[in-house]
Formats: sequence, C-alpha cells, structure tokens
Amino acid sequence: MSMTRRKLLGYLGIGSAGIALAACQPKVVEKIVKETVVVEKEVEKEVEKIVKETVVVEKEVAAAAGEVVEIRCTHSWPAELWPRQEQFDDTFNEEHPNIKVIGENVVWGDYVPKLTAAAAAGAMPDLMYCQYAWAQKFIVNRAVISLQPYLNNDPEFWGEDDFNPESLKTYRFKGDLYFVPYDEGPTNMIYYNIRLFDEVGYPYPNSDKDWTYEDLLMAAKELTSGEGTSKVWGWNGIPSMGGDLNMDFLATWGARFWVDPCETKSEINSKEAVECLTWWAAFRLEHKVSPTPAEAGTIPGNPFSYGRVAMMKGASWDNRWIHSNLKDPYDIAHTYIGPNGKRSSSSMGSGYGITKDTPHREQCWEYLRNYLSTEGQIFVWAAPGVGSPTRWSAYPAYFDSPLAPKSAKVFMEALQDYAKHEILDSPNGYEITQTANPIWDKALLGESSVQEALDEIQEAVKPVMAKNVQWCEDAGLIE
Amino acid sequence: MTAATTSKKLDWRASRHARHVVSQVFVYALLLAGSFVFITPLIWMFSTSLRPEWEVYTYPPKLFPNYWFWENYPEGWSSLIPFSTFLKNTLTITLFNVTGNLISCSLSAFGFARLHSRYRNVLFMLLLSTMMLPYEVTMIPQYVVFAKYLKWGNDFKPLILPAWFGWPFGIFLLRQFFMTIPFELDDAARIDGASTFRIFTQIMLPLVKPAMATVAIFAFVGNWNNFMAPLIYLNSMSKFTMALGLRLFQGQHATHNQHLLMAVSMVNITPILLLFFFAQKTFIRGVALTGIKG
Amino acid sequence: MGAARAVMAEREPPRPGSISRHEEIEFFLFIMPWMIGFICFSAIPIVASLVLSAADWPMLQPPTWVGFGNYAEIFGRDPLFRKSLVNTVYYVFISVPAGIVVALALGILLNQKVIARPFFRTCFYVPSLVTGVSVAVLWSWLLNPQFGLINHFLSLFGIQGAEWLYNTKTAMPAMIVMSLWGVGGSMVIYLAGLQGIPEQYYEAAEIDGAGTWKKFQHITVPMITPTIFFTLVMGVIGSFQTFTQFFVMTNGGPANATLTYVLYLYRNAFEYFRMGYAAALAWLLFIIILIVTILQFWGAGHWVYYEGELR
Repeated sequence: MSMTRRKLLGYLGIGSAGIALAACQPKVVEKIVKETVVVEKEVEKEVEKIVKETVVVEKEVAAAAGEVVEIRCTHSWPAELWPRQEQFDDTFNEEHPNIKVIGENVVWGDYVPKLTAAAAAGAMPDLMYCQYAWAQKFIVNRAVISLQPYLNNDPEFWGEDDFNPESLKTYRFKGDLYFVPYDEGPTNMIYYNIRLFDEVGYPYPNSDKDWTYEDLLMAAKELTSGEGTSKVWGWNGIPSMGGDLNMDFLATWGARFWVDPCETKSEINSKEAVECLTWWAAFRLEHKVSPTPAEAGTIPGNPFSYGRVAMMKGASWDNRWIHSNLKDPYDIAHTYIGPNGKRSSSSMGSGYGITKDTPHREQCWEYLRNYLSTEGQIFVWAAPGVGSPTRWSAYPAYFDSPLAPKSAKVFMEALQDYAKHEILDSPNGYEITQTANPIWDKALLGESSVQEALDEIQEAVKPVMAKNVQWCEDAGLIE
Repeated sequence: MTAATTSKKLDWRASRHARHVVSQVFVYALLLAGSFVFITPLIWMFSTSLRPEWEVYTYPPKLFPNYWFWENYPEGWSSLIPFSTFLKNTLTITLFNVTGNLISCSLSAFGFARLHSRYRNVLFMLLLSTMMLPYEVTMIPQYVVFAKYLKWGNDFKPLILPAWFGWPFGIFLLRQFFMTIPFELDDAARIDGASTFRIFTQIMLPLVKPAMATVAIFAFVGNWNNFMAPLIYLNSMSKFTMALGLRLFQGQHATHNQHLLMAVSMVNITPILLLFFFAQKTFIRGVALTGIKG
Repeated sequence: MGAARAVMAEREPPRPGSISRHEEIEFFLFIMPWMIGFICFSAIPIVASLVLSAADWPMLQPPTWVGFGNYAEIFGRDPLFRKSLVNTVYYVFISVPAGIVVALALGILLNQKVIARPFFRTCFYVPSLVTGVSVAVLWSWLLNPQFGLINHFLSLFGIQGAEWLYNTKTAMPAMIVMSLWGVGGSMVIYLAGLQGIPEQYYEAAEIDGAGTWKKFQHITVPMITPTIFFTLVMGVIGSFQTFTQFFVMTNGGPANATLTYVLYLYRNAFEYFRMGYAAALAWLLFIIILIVTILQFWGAGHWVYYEGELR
C-alpha cells in the first residue's frame, strides 16, 4: 500500500503556499499570506482530526496483530525543510500503525563523523541519507545492505523506467543497488540575471541562437562593467578540480581528468586539458569577467545572489537559495556548445539506504518505498521546488512549483539529452579533489602557469588514484 | 625648610599629577578603541539579526537595516527548530557539569599542588598529556565504549558523567593558584589540629575563590558551546543542545537564513553575557595599580 | 611549639623517599576523582588510538593491521604532513605569545579602578563566547577584501588593504588576528590571577617609595608568573590542535596556506575514512606537544615564582 495520494496533495497546497510566501519580498504581501496560511492551518487541523479518528480504529486492529516497531532514519536537510519532513513522517506513522519512524537530522557538514562513529559502535540508524561522494565508501565497507532483493519483488515501486538511469550509477556495486536515489540534477546550467541583461540590451542565453563557448565569453565581456565595489561580472563559474570537472568543462574540449570509470588514471596535463583550463582561467586572470574569490567573498553567499553577476554556472538545487536571495528576475538556460559541437554537463544527486545495523529491514523497506515513491518525492522534494527529482513522474509537480524557475523544463531536457553521471564517485574521489585543488589554486591566483599546475597535479594524484584499483576489481568494474 | 625645596616638592607633585592625567587619558583612549574593535563584529551580528532575509546580502553593506525586523527572533527561535527544548537540555547539561567540574577539579588540584607524593610529577604530566591528543581520534573509541558496551547512545550520561571526574584544564588552573598560597597558613592550621580536608575546605578554597569562579565560567562556556561530543552522542532532536541547533542553519550548499542564525546566536550568548556581567563584581575586585584609590 | 615543630618536621625535609605514607595516601585520596575519570573515560580511548595507529581502519569495518605502515607513509611520502606541521608551528609561535601579551595587557588595564569597568570587561570578554558558524560569518565580513571593515579602516590612513583570506601570504596572519579577537578568556584568567596578589604588597612598596613601574616590575610580574605559565602551556597545547576556525573559514586554502595539522588529520579521518592514519598523525603530534610541554616545565624553574611551591 502506498501513501494516500489525496492526503499528501492536501498538504502540498499549504506547503507550497508557505514556500511561496518565503520567496515574496515585500513585507505586506508576506503578512497577508501568513494570515491566509493560519486559516489554512485551521482547516488542516480539522481534516487531521477526522483522519486521526479514522486511523485510531485501524491502529487498534493493528496493535492486536503486533507491537509497534521503531525505526530511525537520518536525513541531512536544511532547517527550513525539516517541518515538511516531519509532516511526511507523521502521515506515514498514521498510515502504518505498526511502524513508528523517527526522523533525525544531521547537518551535511557533520554527517560523516556522526555516521561513521555510529557505524563503529554498531549504532547506526535503520535508514540513512547518502550523498554520491560517500556512497561507495559505505557500500564497500558493508555499512549498508543490498536493496536488490526488495527491488526485484516490488514492481509497483521499481518501475525502472521511471528512475533517471544516470541517477542509479553511483549506488551500484557488483550489479546490486545499495541506495535508492531521490534526486538527480544537472550541474552545468546557465543561470542569468534578467535585469542585468536588459540593462545592457543583450539577448538572453540561447535566445538569439544556440550559444557556443565563444558566445558565452563574448556575452560575459559585454555584461562586465564598473570598477571596484560597484563592478558587475559577466560570468561566475570557473572550474575547480571537483567531481564535475570532466563533464562540465573538459569533455567538450576532448579531455578528461580521470580517464576510466574506476578513476585510476589521470590525464589532467594533456594538451587538450591544458587548453581548456587555460581558456577558463583566462575568464578570471586575463579577461577579468569572473570574480576572484577575493572579489566575490565566499561568504556572504554567491555574488550572483546579490545581483552582481550576470550569468553563473549552477545546478538544479542552487535554485532554492537564489530564489530566496536574489531580488532581480532571473531564469535558467541550457549550457553552451563546446568546441566539439556538443553540450555537456555532469549530473549528480543523493539517495537513501538501509544500514547493516537494523533488525527491522522489512519495515525500513516499507518506509523507503513510500518515501521515494512518486508521491513521496513530490511531497518532500519536487513540489516545494527544492530541486530536480529522480523519478520522471515527479517532474510535472516540480514544474508547477512556485519556486521552480520559468524554464525549469531545461533541467529535465538536459538530464534526458546530455547530462551524464560521470563524476568523481570512487571511494577515493574526495581525496583526489582535495589533493588537486590546492595546486590548482596556485594557477588561479596567478602564482604558477596552468601547465605547471596541471603537471604537478598529474604527479600528485597518481598515488591517490592508484588506491582505486582494488575497489575497481571488487566492484566488478574491470575483469 | 627653605622655599626652594618646597617649590621643588610642589613641582614634583604637579608633574606627577600631570603624568597621572596623561596616563588616564591614554588608558581610556586605549580602552575605548579596543572595546570598539572587539565589539563591532557583535554589533554587526545584532544588526543582521534584525534584517529581513532579502537585506542580509545588501551591497554595499549597511550597519543598520532599513527596518528593524524583530520578528526574526520569535521566528528563528521556534518556527523551524524547537530551540526552547534545546535551551532546556543545554542548561541541564551545563549546570550538572559546572558543579561536577568545580568539586572534582578543586580536590584533584589541591592534591597536585599541596601534597607530597613520589608520583606527583609523573601523574601531573599524565594529566596534561590527556589534553595533547586531538579529540578527533579519541572520540570514536570513546563513543564505542559508551554506546556499544554501556548502551548509552542518545543519552546525556556520557556528556555529564566525565565532568564529575576531573577536567585537566580546571585542575591545572586551580593547581597554579593553590601553589601561590604560602605554606605558613597550612602550618598554623595544623598546629590547631586541623585535618588536611579541613585545611582544604576552610582555608584554601576561600583563598582561590577568583580561580574557582574562573573555572566555573570556563566550564560553563565550554559546556554551553560544546559541539563535537553532543553531535556524536545525541540522535533525536528532542535531546539536542543549543550548539547543535545553531548548526542546523548550515545547509549543504550555503548558510541559509543568516538573519535567523544571527538572531538565535544573539539569544545563545545572552545568558553567558549576563552571567559574566553581573557575576564579575563578586569575584574580581579592583586594585589601584597606579596609586589612586578608587 | 612542639607540635608545630613536629608538623614542620613532617613537611620540611621532603627528600625523595622520605615522604610520609600518610601524606602519600592523602595525595591519592585527593586526586581520586581525576584518577577514576582517567582510568574509566580517558585511558581506553587513548590506548585504542595508539593501537589503531598501527592499523588501517575505515571505521565502517574492523581494522586491519599494518604495523608501522602508517608512520612509514607519513615520513616517507606525505608532503602534506610537513606542510601542515610547518603551518601549525608558524601559527603557534605567533598566536600564543601575541595572545599572552594582549590578554595580560587587557587584564592589567581592566584590573584598575576605571570607570564602567564591568562594561569594558564584558566588551573584551564577549567575543570569546561566539563560536562556530557565527564566527565564520562575522569574520568573513570583516576580512572581506572589497567591503570589509578592516580594509575600509586601513584606507582611511591611505593604506592599501590586503586580500586577507584569499592570498597565500596573508591568509595565516589573518587567522592569527582573528584568534586574538578571542583573548577575552585568557584576560579573565589574568584578572583572577591579579586578585591573588595581596594589596599589602603594593602598600608596603608604596611606603618604600616605589613608583608604578617598579611595583609592576617587582610585584605584579613575579606574582602573576604562575598564571602566565598556565596560559602559555595551555595556549601551546590548544594552538597545536587548532582546527574549528580553520575548518569553517578557509578549509586549508588557498593553496594549503592554512592547512593546519589537525585539519589535515580530520580530513584523513572523516573525509578519506583513514582513521588509522589519522591516529598515527595524532600520536606524532602528541609527542611533539609533550616534548614542548616538558621543556616548558623544565624552563619554568627559572622564571615562574610560586609562593607555596612544594620542593
């Protein structure tokens, strides 16, 4: 039995109104909406009462059948999304009198210390959130169980056609799936500030023709203006040695950082890679159309969100904070066409899995199949417009969300067309990034040439990448 | 006495007075400038706490918002996160721990400072050495002991119990103060037949009151802001502390709701601030170093 | 008098080996709380971390033994071990003495009868209460090269501001300046230390005609040495392990200019899942801090003055 669609959709109306109001800027509007919400909440309470009364009867029946099993699920939500998570859990608990799910929230930055400590003590939660970069660590070390048996027996949930196939890549090991993804988003989209474009009278990205990488640079130059504290930059989004480097930057130049899915070999100092990264570094160093970190100030926030950058490279989930901070109208567009004549983007996301420590696997699966059902994804992720879901069937709700950008369909098109999950997701992926980035910093600061920095990176990442060989064999990625 | 010597004396007095005025002006100028430097970030913190969300990132930044958004305080406090619960938990842990620290640290420090033992130096170095290993590598083994073998996961016990068994920082600090007290005092008491424990409670403790108060403040602040241990030990939100709650404002991609974060941060430091402001008079009296009695 | 002499005799000739059993027992009774705490709460994790330093432990699975492999890797082929150690030593050597000087100056200044003293003390103390994300947000604002207050202030004097956290040369100095903002805690310790100086000493000195400077030099300084020693030892122990502010503010950047030792250790433990390696790094740091601390205690005999020191 999956969750009552009507119940969740009932919540949705209220929830999205709340999110919409957070986005409205003038105070008066906010107050009016707040009052409306209060009224809606009263109605909601009444409805809940009725539902509860009905549920009580069911509960009594169920209680006779067996006692209530408590399961813990650890999430990593920002605080403002937590009330929604609790609503979902309350609904679930009401509909499943034998299960009591307890949501726990650990901030993203603290998540790994918390979960590894718990794993070491055999005290993991029953269910856990997992970001792509950590997934293989948890899988290889058997901290989570294979979900394949459950998936195989649950065709209602596992209509594989509904899941974006790219989103499943990170969570496989020897053919089994260990986490079910809840979101997958492209990372190389162009966000643009409509006001800044209009002021210069420049056509919006791809509106006059499909932009190439050279058109992007030209636009960035045209849109850069002013000096010092009033400077406006054309573009924000210079490559770093992160998981998105291959698909977001190097691919269309015909280059690769890691050349195999096992991430055991680097070709970061190849001729094409040097060419590509030199071209991008020039945005900052030569053309000065991209802010340096010193100019941007990494905190507070991204300069795009206070209207000082005309275009930025962004992912689908960036929309939420841009929406709540940027005063100007904005929209998104497809990425540029690279030197090879194609568009390219990474895509990445997160998922949920069942841990080794749980004694209640069946109940965990019952929660997962509800949480990541189309209704579940719509409720927690798509309808509030937080980001792009992993189920195609949840997309219409996302497009309808008051938070989604006007051209939100571009996200889905990118995922179906060119965005690939070719990201650094091996167990040592993070170490590769952390080793390479400080060296790359020197090139971006102008303290060394791009060629020198890339040569140094090539040497530095060798021993780290070599550590992936064992995992690669275990995972069945090479014979 | 000749007139010459008198006038010379007056000159000397006048110059001393002038020097005093100059030094006072200098002292106040220094204090005002210094306190300005130290307090400005907090003024900004306060002003951010009063901004509506869309004014957090205004550019160029303004020290004061256009409209004072006091609503941020109730909103930050209860709309997203149940901070009242967190405050109650933090108070519980902190009060238990300060009490435990004061008792256990003063006893141990007295032993290390004023009693002879062949093992004293070795044991004291052992005590200090427990602070030299980063917590990052001992916390997981410690958690395993508490959570796996004692079954104290999601419980305040591992956060409170250790405080009753000594805190190296407090022991070391109190030891330093016990060691400044001359031994004549003990000897006189021993002549009257006082036991070591009586000397400790009735003579020594009153003499190190300022140090005890300092340990209390450090213990209070340390426990109030302690983050890593509660993060590892506490699972459910109903058990969270303030420090964990504040952390919830930090998202994966950015720190959202900075205005609310700052509002709650202001509330978070207020108890300690008030405590310090009012308690200091009771344990720190002034001395007139420059020779003027106030 | 006879009793007094007996008491004195019991204490006075404290040659090693002649300490009375009674006092030995009392010593252990008094330090009992810490002893129990050490055995129950500290000893097991400490020993465990030492054992784990000889293992490969991804935490999610039981450890596998590698002997001295971790240590060999640290010394053999880890350029970041040396880099992070150098950064940390730089930080310790500047921030600790600077912190002591500033805190002591504030302590002495605010121990005098100045107007609105509680207000001033609170002003200087309060910054040490703000922690974590809030500090990061505040200081990123202050140090912002474009519109930060610090560069704005410098520009009033015609000085070209720096890029602070975004430049490899100025990032560490900026972090040190930031650490000085939190000296309020040490200031409180000095205030407490200054309380311990009996006022009669100053009165007696005044009768002898001693001026402000003489009193400071011959009474205040010697009497406060135990407190200075405390802040020095604790400052060194703490700064060698500095982590949180670096983790939140710079995360080691730019170009590893602010990669501190414990930040690197943390990365190995919780980002690369190499807890065994992190434990080996921790034990090397332990040895370094221990040696420095023992040297400080050894040197303390020359400059720290205790009125009630056991000899």
